[in-house]
Amino acid sequence: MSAMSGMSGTGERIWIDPARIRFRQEEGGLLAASWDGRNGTVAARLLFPITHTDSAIWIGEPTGEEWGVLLSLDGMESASRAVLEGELRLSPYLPRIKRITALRRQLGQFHWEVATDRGPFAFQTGPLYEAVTAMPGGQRIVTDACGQRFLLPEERRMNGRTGRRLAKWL
Amino acid sequence: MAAKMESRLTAYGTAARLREKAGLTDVLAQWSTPLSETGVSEPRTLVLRKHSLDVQGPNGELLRSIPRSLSSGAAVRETGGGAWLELSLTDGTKIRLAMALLSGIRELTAIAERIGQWAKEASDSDGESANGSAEPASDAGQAEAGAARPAGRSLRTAMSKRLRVLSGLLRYAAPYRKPLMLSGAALLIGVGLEALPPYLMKLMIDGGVLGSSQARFAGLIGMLLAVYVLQAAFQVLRSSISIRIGNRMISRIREDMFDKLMRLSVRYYEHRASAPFIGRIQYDTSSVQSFLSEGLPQLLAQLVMTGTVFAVLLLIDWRLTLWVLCAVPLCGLAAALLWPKMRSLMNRTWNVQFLLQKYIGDALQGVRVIKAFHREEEEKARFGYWNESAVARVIEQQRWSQWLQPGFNLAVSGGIALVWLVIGRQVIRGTASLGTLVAFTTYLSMFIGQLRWNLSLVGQANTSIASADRIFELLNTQEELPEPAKPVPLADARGEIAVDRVSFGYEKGRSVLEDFSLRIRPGEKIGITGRSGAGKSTLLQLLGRFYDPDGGSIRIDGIDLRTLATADLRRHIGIVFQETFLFDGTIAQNIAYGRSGASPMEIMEAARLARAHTFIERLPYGYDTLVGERGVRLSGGEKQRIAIARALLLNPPILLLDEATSSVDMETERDIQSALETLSEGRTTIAIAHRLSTLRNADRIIVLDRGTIVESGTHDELRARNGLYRQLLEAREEARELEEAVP
Repeated sequence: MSAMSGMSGTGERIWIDPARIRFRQEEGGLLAASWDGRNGTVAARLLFPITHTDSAIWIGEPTGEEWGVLLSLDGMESASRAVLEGELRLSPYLPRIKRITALRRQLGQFHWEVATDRGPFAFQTGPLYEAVTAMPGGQRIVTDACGQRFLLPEERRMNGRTGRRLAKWL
Repeated sequence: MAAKMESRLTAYGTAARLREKAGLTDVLAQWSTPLSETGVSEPRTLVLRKHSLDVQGPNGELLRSIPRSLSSGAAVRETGGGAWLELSLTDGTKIRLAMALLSGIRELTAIAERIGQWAKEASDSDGESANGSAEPASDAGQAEAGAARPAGRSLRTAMSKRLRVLSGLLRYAAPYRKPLMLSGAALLIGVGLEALPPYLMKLMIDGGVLGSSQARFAGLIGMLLAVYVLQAAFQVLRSSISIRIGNRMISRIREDMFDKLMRLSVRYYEHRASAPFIGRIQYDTSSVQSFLSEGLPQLLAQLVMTGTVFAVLLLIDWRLTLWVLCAVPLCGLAAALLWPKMRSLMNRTWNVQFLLQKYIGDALQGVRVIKAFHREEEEKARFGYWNESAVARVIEQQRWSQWLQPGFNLAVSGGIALVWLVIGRQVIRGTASLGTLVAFTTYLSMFIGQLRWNLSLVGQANTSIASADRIFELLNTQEELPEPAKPVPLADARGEIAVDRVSFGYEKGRSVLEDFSLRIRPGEKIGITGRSGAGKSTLLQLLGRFYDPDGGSIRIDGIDLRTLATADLRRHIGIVFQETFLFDGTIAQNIAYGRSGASPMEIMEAARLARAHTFIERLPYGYDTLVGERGVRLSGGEKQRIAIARALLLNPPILLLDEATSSVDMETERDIQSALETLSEGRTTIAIAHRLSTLRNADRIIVLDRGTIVESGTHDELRARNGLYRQLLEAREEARELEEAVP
């Protein structure tokens, strides 16, 4: 089964079989794929980038033409999977906070220093009730003054010190 | 082949570096970003040289160099939350060179354009031109990483902000200088009077009761009564001044807040719930008011009182006073240790209360959906969750507070018992009088009482400063659409519109319009159509200056919208939105919304032209019918016609119609269409429509797709072509046939 119809309506949704698609990274760093007779540079993005990070992955031409959607990564060849996962960490670019090294309040403005999976960042937000949005599943999105977003995992996934820093204000 | 090219690139880079070392700098532009091409927080600098493009690492080391002869173009590839700079090579290979955060995308776009031009010049001249002139390195290319940047940079000090909050509050007090000075004088006299009774008691005990002098005792009682009466009188005077001034100041603050809310751009509200603003205007100002009108004068009074009582205590027995004073720093230390905890608890409580307010606002706005989907129980549970969270936080906060008071009382009682012990022994030995003992312990109770008061007032002051902080945070919000200092007047607009190379996105990194240009003649009727998300409504929002473009300009009669006063601009533009909003009030009030002085005749005429008069005049209360909040008592078509009447009454030279007939049936559409024909006569009209029949009479129809114009012409011209317009038209006709086929 290379593809199957899964959606009725105006357009047929194409589900991509993870076992049949191959991903590779081109020399210039771009993602390329070969599947069902197609081959070339592709764009990949998670359709649920926060709540389902390993399923519902849109694959298509960089110009926007859809190839199809990968419902899961199960059964995908390991090298392909690693390349795809690397790409998905960048699209959308949403650094995941691993540790809060400082969180200071200075008259309504909060100054954050965090360690993320993409390295250290320092940023500033407004009041936390506006800057931190709860997502389904307990994760939270922190939006800084420039609109840059960071993913704040559930409290139980963070170390005690980070939890205490957060609990002081949130 | 790519590997071969890679080695060529690196070798070329080494040569470029050598040239640089030799002083032959040929930098045309450069750009820095805090992110690597793989999105890791690691700085990269792109150096555009005459013959190559270099990528440098965090320490300036050369990571990659691409010869100009191999480059064919550059593009910005946006990903949610950032963007890559993608370089195209002549063999078709693409290279991700670096990544920018949202705050750096504008600079990234600028450098991409510069690189594109640089590559194009190379290909135009078939390789490299040895005589090409070197341009100076562009400082503008140095990207500022924005707020999100790798850790380590210094933070601005909070002092200036704190001072700004306090000076902001004082600014509101400035107009009431004289009454405040009067209040201050009353305060000082009142404090002096309050300090007298214990001393009079000492005199009564030592010279009246113990001295057995009836006349002296009666005189002292008389003095005591007089002191109490005067004390009460000054207190009333001071309170009345404070209450009046406090309330006036708060009224001014509320006015300023609302004024600010009105001036803030639409974008400000896009990511914010509206309900908590009610809380800010109501509760934050109340908190500041109670502090300004009661707390602050009391705090000052208590401070003066504390100083006075302390001076009297020193006079009575300075040694004992100093012993007692040793306890004060301990109390201060305890307060200093407890305060951060209290501050944190207050913040946490406020956060949950904000979310509770936000939830209630959401639920009330969506009450129809809740009922339609029968989700009342689930919503009650959600409310319960937020309500319980808020209660839990308040309990947590109050639990801490409950220990403060008894702890302090215990310390006070212990201190007084100590004084009784020390001076009581002196009285027994005859080295001190009984009056001294009574006076000292009374003054000491007063002194410690003052400290306790001061402590609670400091708590109140901090709550109020936090509220003032939120108030000033709103008042100091930078306006995205600033009013020009010297606006260009627009007397009578002819209605010529020029959209020149406009780029715009609601969110950084996601463009809706890209390099968009359009010229509209005065009085021209323009129809705009296209698929959903093509940028049609966005164009209208920009024309109405609800947003400013990220790049390019929009001009009316040759004047840039950014140089016009907003009021002047809106006077010349009438807008009918897709979603009609009616205010809670009468139909007449809603029609006359844009012209408060409109006469009943004018309102009726506008309604007639908008084909709204028939249904209005059939209503029992006619034009005085209350439409209710959000116009719930009217149908979509009726509300739409009121909105058209509202625009008609304004009589603007430019008219913007955003899907003005989207929510009505065909018969009503025809009716409204005819109203719109009337409305657009002699005006520059830009109408968005999915129903292409409504655009049939437009002078020109613009077809948008993904933020750019893909077709332009009259209905007949576009129909004759085999383009997007025709596709949309056929799809529409198909849908209509289907609609008609359904019995």
